Amino acid sequence: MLGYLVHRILIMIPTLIAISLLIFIIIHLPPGDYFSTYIAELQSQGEKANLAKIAFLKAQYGFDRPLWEQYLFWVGGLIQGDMGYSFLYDLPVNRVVGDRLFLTFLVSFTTIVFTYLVAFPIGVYSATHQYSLADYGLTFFGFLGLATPSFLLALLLVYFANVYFGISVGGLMDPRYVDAPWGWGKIMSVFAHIWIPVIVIGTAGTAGMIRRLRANLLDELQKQYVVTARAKGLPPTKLLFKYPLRLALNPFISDIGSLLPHVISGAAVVSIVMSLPTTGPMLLDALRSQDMFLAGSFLMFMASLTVIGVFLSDLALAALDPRIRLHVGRQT
Amino acid sequence: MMPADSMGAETRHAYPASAMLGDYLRAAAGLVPVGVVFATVPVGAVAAGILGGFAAIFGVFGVRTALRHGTSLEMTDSELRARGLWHTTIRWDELDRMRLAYYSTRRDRRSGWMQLDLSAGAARVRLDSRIEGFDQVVRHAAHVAAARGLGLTEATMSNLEALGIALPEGYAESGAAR
Repeated sequence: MLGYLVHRILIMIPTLIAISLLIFIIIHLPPGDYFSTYIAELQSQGEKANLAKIAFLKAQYGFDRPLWEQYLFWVGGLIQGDMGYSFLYDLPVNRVVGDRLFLTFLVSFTTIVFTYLVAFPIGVYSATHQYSLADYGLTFFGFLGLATPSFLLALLLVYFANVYFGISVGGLMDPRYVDAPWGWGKIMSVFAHIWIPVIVIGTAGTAGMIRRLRANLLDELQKQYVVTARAKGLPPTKLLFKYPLRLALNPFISDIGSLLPHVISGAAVVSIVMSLPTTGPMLLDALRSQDMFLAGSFLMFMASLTVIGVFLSDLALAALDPRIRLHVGRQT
Repeated sequence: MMPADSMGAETRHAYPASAMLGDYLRAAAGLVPVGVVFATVPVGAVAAGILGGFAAIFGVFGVRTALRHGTSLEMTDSELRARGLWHTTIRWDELDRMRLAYYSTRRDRRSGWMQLDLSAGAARVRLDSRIEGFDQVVRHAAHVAAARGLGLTEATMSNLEALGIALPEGYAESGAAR
């Protein structure tokens, strides 16, 4: 397993380098940079820009150097834990993002845990009670969850909570804690608020997971070894948990990797709708204004989460089912 | 893969240097960049933790590669002896666990490698498919495991099948095979 871990890490590193290159190139694709846009904006309003300060910032952050040097400057900063400077907010990125990266991670992680906790028992129940009334009901809700965009669900929740209950379900904490330092009260407030965005963001993923687990488990339950085990009198629950469920879990685990990007991209839109203090709304502003360091750091963080998610799911799969596929033949 | 040296009923198996070169390079590929970063730029606490973690993993991997490279196996009808920095002997009549795993980092599961874990009480031997005569050791271990009625996992059964190692008829369907 150590060998596998090392192989996977060595694949992960060039992947992250390639992603950082892509992010850098894409952010630089539109003509100009943050400063030229900023100067043009001020000029269109008949105002004068502080050219001396802009020249200073350009020199300090390497905007006057070739692109490859700018890239190395940015990546070098990231390695040192310095995410650069946000020109949009006129503050270091570390200070601008504040708790947002952590809260984004918290929302994403909780959503994934929620997805698995809900999808696992429902998927198993649906498969073991195929074509029962409960299976039809759960299947219906599954399709409904798959077909409903997260932002629409968020809008509906915000609207109905406000109209019928007179409460606001936006935000991740009580307004009084927004700028307060972290403490027990703030933590409890986050936990009291987080479940609504988690349900909103996680519904589609949960519905998809239920469908996949149900289908995988049904495939396994119809195989001959299950019939043989039943015929030999193995108790149904023991049979289910010991053999078919284990095999049906493989695609379920490998989905972690694909779930993360969905959760994060879904969270960006939902965060705007529900006024969540996560990275989504800030990323949108940063991309629109070509705030290189802010946008780049956000995108790199999200890409890293995705790469780590795939890495973890691969590790889990390798630990759970380290087998060769017979149709591949022997490859050692 | 054939055994490096056969001496009657005893066979000897070792890791050829050419097969281990890749692992030495991998350990270096992980350690050198981290070392360069630490040596040339000031690193923040979080980044230092992450890079330090990577360095530790690659360091342990490098040491394990060297240990594995320095280990040779001697297999007889009665036991399997590992000779290297540590000496371990697995007596076949005490074998209580066998696990054959296959790892691949590719999506199509090609170009991977196998790893055989054998235990007999506290004695434990782990070898991978780059050792000379790997098939021979696996075949012998599988037959001993079948004769002793050891429980083999689904993955082990599949991997044995992929190596063309057949267990006694009916073994796969027996409770022991699970």
